[in-house]
Amino acid sequence: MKYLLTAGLSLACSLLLLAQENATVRGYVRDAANGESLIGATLYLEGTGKGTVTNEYGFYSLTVPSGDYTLVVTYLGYAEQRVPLALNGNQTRDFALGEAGSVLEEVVVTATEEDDNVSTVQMSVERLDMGTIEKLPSLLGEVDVLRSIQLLPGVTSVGEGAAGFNVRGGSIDQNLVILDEAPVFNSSHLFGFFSVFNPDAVKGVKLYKGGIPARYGGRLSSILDVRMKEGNNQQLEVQGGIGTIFSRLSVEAPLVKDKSSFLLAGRRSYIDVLAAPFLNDELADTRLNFYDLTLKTNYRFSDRDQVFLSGYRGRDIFSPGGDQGFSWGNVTGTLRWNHLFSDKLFSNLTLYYSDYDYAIKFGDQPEQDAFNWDASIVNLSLKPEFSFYLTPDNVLRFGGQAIHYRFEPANAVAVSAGEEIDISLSRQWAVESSAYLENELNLFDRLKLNYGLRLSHFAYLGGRNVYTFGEPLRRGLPRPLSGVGRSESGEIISDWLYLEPRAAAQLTLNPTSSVKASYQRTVQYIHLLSNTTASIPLDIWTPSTNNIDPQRANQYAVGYFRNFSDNAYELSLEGYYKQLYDLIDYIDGADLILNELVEGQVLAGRGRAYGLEFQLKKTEGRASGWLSYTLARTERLVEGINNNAWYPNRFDQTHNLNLSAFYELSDRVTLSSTFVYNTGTPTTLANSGYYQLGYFIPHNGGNARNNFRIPDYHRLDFSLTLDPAKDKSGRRWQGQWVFGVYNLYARRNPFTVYGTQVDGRAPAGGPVETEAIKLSVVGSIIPSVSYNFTFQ
Amino acid sequence: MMRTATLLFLALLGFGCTDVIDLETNFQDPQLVVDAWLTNEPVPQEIRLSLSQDYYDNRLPPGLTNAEVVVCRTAPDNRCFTFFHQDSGRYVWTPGPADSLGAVGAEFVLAIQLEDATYGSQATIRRVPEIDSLVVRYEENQLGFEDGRYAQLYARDFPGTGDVYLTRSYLNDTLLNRPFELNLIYDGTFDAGSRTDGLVFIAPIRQNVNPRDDGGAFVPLQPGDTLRVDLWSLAPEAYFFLGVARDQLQNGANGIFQIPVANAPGNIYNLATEESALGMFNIAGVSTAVRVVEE
Repeated sequence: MKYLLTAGLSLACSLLLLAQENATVRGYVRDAANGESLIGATLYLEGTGKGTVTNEYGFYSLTVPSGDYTLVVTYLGYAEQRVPLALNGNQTRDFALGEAGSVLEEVVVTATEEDDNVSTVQMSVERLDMGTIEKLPSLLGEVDVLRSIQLLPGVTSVGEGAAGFNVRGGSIDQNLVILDEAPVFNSSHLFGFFSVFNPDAVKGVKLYKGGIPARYGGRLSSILDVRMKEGNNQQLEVQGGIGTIFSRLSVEAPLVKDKSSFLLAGRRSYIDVLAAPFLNDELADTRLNFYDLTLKTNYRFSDRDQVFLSGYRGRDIFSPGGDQGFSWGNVTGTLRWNHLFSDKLFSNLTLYYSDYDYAIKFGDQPEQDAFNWDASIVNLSLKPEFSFYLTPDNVLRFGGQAIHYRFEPANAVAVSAGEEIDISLSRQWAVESSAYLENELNLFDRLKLNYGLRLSHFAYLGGRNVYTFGEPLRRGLPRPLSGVGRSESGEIISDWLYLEPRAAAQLTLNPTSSVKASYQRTVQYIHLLSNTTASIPLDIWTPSTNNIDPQRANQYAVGYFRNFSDNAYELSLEGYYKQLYDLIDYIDGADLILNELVEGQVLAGRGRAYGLEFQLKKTEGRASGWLSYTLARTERLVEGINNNAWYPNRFDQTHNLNLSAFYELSDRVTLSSTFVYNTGTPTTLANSGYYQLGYFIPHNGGNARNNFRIPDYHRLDFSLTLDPAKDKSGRRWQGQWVFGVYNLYARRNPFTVYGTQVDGRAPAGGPVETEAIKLSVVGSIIPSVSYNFTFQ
Repeated sequence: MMRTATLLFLALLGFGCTDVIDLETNFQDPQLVVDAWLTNEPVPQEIRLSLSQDYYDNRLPPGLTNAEVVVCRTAPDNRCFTFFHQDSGRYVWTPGPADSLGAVGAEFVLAIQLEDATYGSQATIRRVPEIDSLVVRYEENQLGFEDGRYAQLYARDFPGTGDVYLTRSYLNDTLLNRPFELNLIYDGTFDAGSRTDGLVFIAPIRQNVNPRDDGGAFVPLQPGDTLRVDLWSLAPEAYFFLGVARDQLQNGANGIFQIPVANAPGNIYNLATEESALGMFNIAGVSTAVRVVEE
């Protein structure tokens, strides 16, 4: 780490000397109305072909030979700015862009340079800004970041209501979901129905499905980067809404105008309030609610230093009354410091804390009989990052990260007939560190490269028992404990060091088309232990240990990109192939909960995933939207499962088609629609059964895994958004109505199919009656109305 | 608990639903099933041989009638018990007065000759704790219980880990055999992983001897009801077998949180091919308590 930093800095300094006759213009691009930084805004010097885009903080730096130029600043949906630039020394120029006059452009599929699809080196990346997410029809009218990204090619989910999402055949724990850099370990409220991100507090999301730059790591399949708004630094702004599930309120205001602002946003569900009159005595005290609270503030000390502080807390509570029940949630905190070492060297130092925990408490008479269990995963991280803008054609990025993890799988006490027993599981500690070097290079005007190397190290630390396991008696049984050792606190029990090369290339064929290719190697050191179809909040994370190896993956991707009709249409076609190693799987009948010897229940397997993704977007005009189609397969091979043959993952979907369309009926009324179709996911069904002890025991003769396809899924949704009239745009209070219909033709889309035993006690000596059941999470049409307002 | 929470949510919003569908399993390959759960009580002991069948056949499987079945005690002494075919695949050994298969600690082998194949297994009678009491109490305002009379089975696990048990409840002589009535005990609690030991059976296990209704909720006992609970000792592999079987029997109720379909691993093997037949050979030590519910 230290060595790399030194090497990077000395390289940077030597290049600095070479570039003496050049001059640098640098600064920030922001939204004129609220001071929010604009990420990915384009700046170019007219007639030179030289340009750059703003980074995650709205910063840009452009170094070119001294001279007179016209600098053009553009950002989709905003009015372009053209300024003369007499560059004969280093300059600082900040820009504040105003929104374009027409409301038509509010619905934009990407908030980026118009030919971004073709011209950037980055492939396999999806961006959604809140303007688009808010216009998509949603379940119960609740605008939802995670549900929206499932409309993009290559992103699927195991079913309606399931937590998390699957990217290019990866499991849900292979996505790194970060909220202002801090990882969010469970991104769902109410199991999986709503995501934990308050739309009022989110600026936009960016999903890396492939070609992940070296600066990101830690998960195999994707990075979902959720950026929070900074808070309006121009004037007070209050936003809120009343929906079917949540009520929301957010306040943003300048603390010191142009220098400092804050954002405070909260949501709470009121399902329990609505349900109270309908619950009978036994359930009268039931509490079922979830909330989240987001806070962000920033201070600009100078044009070289800016500090951001963000915090999040969300919680789901389910209680049958008293202090019994269970709850879970995330807490994150991020402190970031942007510092400019020179006009060309931008740095960001992030310090974050993240904690996911849950708690369960049962027992009417706790001193007599009770069960208390809480668990958490806590991590603390420091992450310095540097971007060195050598020339418009050469950007060097380097940095590193250290993460300290503490896993507390269970602090648990059982009280039985007045006797208390501690059934806690041992804690685990680990440190993950990494360093990277990344170079973005434009060559010969036609070829762009982004290549880099990430070095990652993981140390599983002592202070606990170390278990070793022997071979199982028979394949499929738990591995028996063969030894217990004791490790000292801080001692390294196991560690791993991996090199993760990353590379992406873009070749411009002509101004409207390009081909791209990328390779990435990713390593994942922490794992979610979960064998249920949809992950449950009680699933625990585990580090790699002396018994569990890190998961690793290679991904190769190629793509063709083309824009039509003056960038009004964007087309992309991508193919990918992934190899995955040491994937986590489980023995049959695995006992993953409250099990000190859980490592003996884990199997390691191989995986492969491949697919073709097609997307056509229309980004301009009254009608806009996108059509995406994915043809894909994801499979795994695990010794002891499916007779040691390859089998499809539970979330495998062969065909996946999404159509999202927006139509501006007038400047007040927008009609949106989505249509979703996908092949049913595979599941395993018992095909036979036999009697033991009077029970009819299901049996999977032939031992095949995921050999049955659930019927296909399709759904059509609509929504109508009624915005305030433009001629009343001067008003301080502006209201918006959203009318939605989810699952318009009321299809009972199956989540799963299973065999079950018919209610009623089997008569003595008679057979147990069985039947097959199709479970639909949403089995009807769901209308919704929500009202949103802004007060300025 | 998760299930309750999900169901409550779906019920509140009223848009989840289930439909009964027809399912083609194409099941073609029946396997030998041995149902050999014996006890050391002085009552007739029965081993049933049959074939596995399509999950949706909805019939009792026809028995295999042409086998020879013998159980031999190998420790502390040698004695064989011949199980004679009675009817429809039921093979029975009837003890004389005060006779039984053996005492706790006795070891056994099972041999089945069926056509050209020989199947074998072994079992040991494990220790079983005394039942301290079977108590019936009136419960009011208790979570998960409609107001009424419910039984609790008080017994204490032996010191030392790995003791596993099963309860068999009979309400007025009817065996309680619904999926949620399957009550397994590992060192006084549910599973191996929790590392409890020597504990009075925890509350959910004590209560799990009560009858349940279609939805899995407990049904209160009525005055005059007779509840008998047998506590059986199991071998670890029998516990694992029933643990997997229980999770599979109850899996449908897990909704979107189902676990993968898994096969309960049996302990009866074809001696030539070493392939496993379906089913389990276990000889249980038994403790019994009976309670008549009073006004």
